Amino acid sequence: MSTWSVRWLAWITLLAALLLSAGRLPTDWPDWLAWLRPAWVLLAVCFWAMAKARPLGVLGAWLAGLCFDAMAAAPLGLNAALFAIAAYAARQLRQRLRMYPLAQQCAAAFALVAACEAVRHVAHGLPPIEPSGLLMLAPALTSAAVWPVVRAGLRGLCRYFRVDQ
Amino acid sequence: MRAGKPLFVRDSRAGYLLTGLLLGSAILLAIDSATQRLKPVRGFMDNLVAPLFVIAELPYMTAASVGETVASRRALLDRIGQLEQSNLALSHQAQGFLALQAENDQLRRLLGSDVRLASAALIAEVVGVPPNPAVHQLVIDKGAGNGVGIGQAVVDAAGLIGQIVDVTAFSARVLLITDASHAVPVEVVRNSLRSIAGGTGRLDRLLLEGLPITSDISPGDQVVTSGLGGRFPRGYPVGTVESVAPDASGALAVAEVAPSARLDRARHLLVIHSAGPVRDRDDVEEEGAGEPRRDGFPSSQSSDVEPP
Repeated sequence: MSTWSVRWLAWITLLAALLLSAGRLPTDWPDWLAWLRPAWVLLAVCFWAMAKARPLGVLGAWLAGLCFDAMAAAPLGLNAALFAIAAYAARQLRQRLRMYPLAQQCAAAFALVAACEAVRHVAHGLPPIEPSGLLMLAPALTSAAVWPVVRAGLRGLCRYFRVDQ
Repeated sequence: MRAGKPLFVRDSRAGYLLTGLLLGSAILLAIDSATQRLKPVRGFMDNLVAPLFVIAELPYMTAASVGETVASRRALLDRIGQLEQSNLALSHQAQGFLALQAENDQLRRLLGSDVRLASAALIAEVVGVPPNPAVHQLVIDKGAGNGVGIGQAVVDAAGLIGQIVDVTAFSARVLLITDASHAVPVEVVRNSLRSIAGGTGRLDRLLLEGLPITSDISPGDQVVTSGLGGRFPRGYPVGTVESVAPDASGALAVAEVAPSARLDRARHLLVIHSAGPVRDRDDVEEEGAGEPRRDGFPSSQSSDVEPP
């Protein structure tokens, strides 16, 4: 697959991740379930940043973050910076991360999403917003839980389209 | 002597790029938080991501459509019956309001005071919720093309929802009254005690802070918009006082208010186009009552929404 085709594939999966983030919960579900939404876009960014074909660089991650900022009504540049740092870190540590067993990869995903949530919480929460505390870590937990599924799905796509992982 | 292959390869270009992007993010954050200069950029980005909300809403729209298609005749007849009863009850109430309004206008005229203008309303549907539980916003399916503008109040059947903060061509964002950055001027119905209802970041709670400790306010009091500040029309229900307690200093009181509106449940909302500040009756009478508005809102005769 050509470099541009791989880039298109990466951006289509990012679009799907943005759609998963944009979907709202049914109105009769409790509000706190919104905190359990995994960080779909961040997980997809990290996967593509680690891929050997390099379909998504730091700039791509930054642009995806800017779109997420607009969607999440967050200060412009906040998630862009977080996604760019995450992509850079994933790229630099990719050889080590790829060697990790799945459980350890989930732990790394948890740490990454938790760190991003902490920064977001500080950026939004001056003065502190409710609910605070451990609920803030809920997206990190669910992101770690869905990482095997995200990885398997994107790997399957890579295999189908013969993308160099 | 040939140099060996370095053990640790540094991707310096990515490092420089990251530094530049972080600098760019910091500048964006500083400008966005301190000024309004990034409004056009945000508007452009909002336009870019607005279709995502509509696409994400498709499963609900499809489910609703399928539900309507396969609904049994019996269920539809029951629903029509309920709506007819509800319509009858509301019509009865509206007649009472019309009489009261006429009486109110008459009294105002006798006092040589001004009359209040009615507000027109536009029905909008919620099509999305930003994926950020820390921000209390909704995305609705009406935008600048329908006459929606920044600052317009939004209500549901039970009370005040919030106000428009961002508008694109076909959608708009509503900041809910419970958002931590929101505040609305209110008054207590029982004694017209004025205060500010601030958002707490929780959908079930607003706070009236800085009340004198001797304020005549108690649980059960109804709180409505006061109309001060000109942003929200007067008289829309905001909530009910749940508790009153001294604050940390002991010198002032804090009242907790439960919002009237179904902030997390409402699907259909009304965007209120306030007729602006109270004007002289002569000015009002000079205007054509049934003339369609240029801003796309229905004429005041056809769909006036009066504060309850």
